[in-house]
Amino acid sequence: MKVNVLIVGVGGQGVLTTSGLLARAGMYEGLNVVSAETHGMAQRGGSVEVHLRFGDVRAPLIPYGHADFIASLEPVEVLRYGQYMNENTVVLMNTRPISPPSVSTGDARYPSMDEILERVEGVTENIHLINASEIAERLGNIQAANVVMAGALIGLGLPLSIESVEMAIADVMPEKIRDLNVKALREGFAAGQRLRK
Amino acid sequence: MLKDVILDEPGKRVFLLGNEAIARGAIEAGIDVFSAYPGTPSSEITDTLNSACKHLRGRMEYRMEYAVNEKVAFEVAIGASLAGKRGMTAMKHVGLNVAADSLFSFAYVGARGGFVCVSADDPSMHSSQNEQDNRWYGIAAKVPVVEPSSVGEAKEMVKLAFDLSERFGLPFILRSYTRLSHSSGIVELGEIPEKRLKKVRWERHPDTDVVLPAHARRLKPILQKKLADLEDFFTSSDINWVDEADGKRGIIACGMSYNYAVEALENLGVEMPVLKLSSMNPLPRKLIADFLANLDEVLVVEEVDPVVELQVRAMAKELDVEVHGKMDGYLPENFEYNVSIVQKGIARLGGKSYDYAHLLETAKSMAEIAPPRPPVLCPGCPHTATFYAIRKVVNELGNASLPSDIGCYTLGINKPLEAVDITICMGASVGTSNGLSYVLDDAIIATIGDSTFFHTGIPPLVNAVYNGNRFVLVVLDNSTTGMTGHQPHPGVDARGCGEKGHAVRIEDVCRAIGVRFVEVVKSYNIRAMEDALRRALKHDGPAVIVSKQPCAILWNRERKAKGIRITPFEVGEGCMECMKCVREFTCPAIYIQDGRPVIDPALCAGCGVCAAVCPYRAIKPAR
Repeated sequence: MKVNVLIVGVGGQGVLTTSGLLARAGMYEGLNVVSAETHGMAQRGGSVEVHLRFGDVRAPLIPYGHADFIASLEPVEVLRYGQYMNENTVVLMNTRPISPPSVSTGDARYPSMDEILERVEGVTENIHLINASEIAERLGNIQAANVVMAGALIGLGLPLSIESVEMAIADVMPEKIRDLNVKALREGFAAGQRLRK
Repeated sequence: MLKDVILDEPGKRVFLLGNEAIARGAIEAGIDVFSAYPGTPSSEITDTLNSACKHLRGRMEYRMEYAVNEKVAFEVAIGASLAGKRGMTAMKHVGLNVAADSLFSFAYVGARGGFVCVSADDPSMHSSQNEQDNRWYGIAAKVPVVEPSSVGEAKEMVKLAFDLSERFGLPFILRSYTRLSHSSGIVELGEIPEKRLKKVRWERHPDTDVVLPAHARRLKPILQKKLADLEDFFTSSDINWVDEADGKRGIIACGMSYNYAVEALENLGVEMPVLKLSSMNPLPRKLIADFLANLDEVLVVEEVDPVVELQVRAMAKELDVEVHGKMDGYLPENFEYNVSIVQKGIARLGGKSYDYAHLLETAKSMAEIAPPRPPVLCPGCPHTATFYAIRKVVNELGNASLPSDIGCYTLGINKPLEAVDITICMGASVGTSNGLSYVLDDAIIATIGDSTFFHTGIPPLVNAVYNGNRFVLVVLDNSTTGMTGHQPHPGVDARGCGEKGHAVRIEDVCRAIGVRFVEVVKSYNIRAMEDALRRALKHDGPAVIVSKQPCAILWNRERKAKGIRITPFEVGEGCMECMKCVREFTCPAIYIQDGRPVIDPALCAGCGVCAAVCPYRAIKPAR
């Protein structure tokens, strides 16, 4: 078995935390796990990507065209990783944009949701939208949007159990935010299951 | 995670970052002294050993420190080794350039206690100024280089390197790179030894430890004999192996490239014999010759330079084997590899077709509409305020040369600040300013970070005082090493392992070496900064302004820890939509909505600099 997951977003959104939780969950289930994180120079605001691979894999980076799942914590970020997609790739996109400074200063334009979808659908029609930020806000902390996304990925068919991820949350996260994150995970999972139908 | 790194449960499988695995390997090897200067992608080795030492106190003790630069770190580890203890250092590839002087001489002296230097290379330059291959250092300095292929192997190879360093009396380089240091995998824990850091009596060995010419002449053939013995060892070592398969075409795969090759073969459904190599210097020539003896063609897969390929080509001439790799275009010469890139080369060798160009084409058209998101200075970053003031003064002057240095602040190159004209290497802002001062009519305003100032900024400043060279040096003092993850340095009062240190004040250093214009300014006070710059520009000689304000990330953390609420600012009535705050100041927390600037309260650090920038006083703390 081989499962390749790409998680992308903006520095500060919790991309590394999400991949860490899923990686641990995979390990608890007895799977081999390899991951690779790429973050640029600055601490905040830049593009971040994590490659996460389960099963019979060796290299840390997903081969081109081999992503089974791509989770994008920010809409336009998904557009930067087309080389990993194939016609069966399941794409999960958080719909809340984070506008880069290049847009504020008028040097670049933030595309419309339709434009983004059109480009992705050129490769895979298996694209699902979720307002993970809103779900997290409703639960009491916008920071938990990443965990909502992790739950939704499993709801969409990533072969890990919710219980393993809950175990990982218990092992990794400080106690005062554990319950909130377990809730976020379960809400995400339910949303993912609905999207799958 | 730290709790896995310090877990004493041999046989347990945990998920570690490559750098954490290297740190764990050092702990299992029972290191005595560790010293390093941070540099991506090596920093987490140091940070992990820093956090771990507090928890291991009383069980497995070692001394760890953040050094002022890589040469110093290297020499600290040499000191430990010469006293018979296990010494270790870690640095990014360019860091070894700083330590190269010590490296070349220490090879002649040789290690007594185990000595390991981790060099973390950065193929594709994810966060570096060049793409150097530090295996050359091994060849040039006559120092062994080992290169692990996976996170699990990295941990084991640290231990092996210490053992071999002691057995052969040689310092070792362990070559890592971004895709190993920053990848994670499952690691089986070994035992954490019970040990105290006991001080020992010094034993003199001037015949080896003093490399005066007469000694060095005698030591060189000894060094060569040690390497020859080590090569024999590597020929049958289990860090190198052959995956047998039929056929006259084979692959030599080095370090991480081994994984790329194996996966590529699986994807292609092709079988070929593969020689997995982890001893990069000295190369196990007998093992390679035996492997080549059965082949007609071989593909060498390695990152970054054709270090092994060159040597294999020399060997293959006699054996009549055709060698492929970087030098004949089977594999790209530049940038990091992955399964797909290696697969393309292997497909060509195996007479199969495989290409990924169409995937890159599609990706390119998809990325076209994505607005760029380059790294930016954080909301509340004190450097933004300093650069804003510098830009304003430079605009008044009409022109000025703006050399800078390595750190977050290199991002001052971005529009609209455009406050960085030159960045070469650590400390070079001051070095180049000396040279520029001889030939430029324009003013020179150089910038350097506090950690970088201590690293290599002081000697060129001494040079400027001595020669009377005229330029302004702004020290961007944010009380930390920001870009690599907030490590302390000699300017702050924290040390490695959490102890309190003796802070060295930058302004005191500058005055002590004879700089006659030294001023300390609060970074957020733009007007004070402008005034200081104007005065400094009139000074005949080197002038230093220390622009001081803690890194916004640290400042936020500190306030949160103390329970202080961060009051964000907001754009209120009176805003004339002049956009000065967005177009000239550019804080990432300020964006435009419906033609009006708005401050994102979740991002705003409450520094208030935008309020000072606003000509209409429309920005105020939110109620």
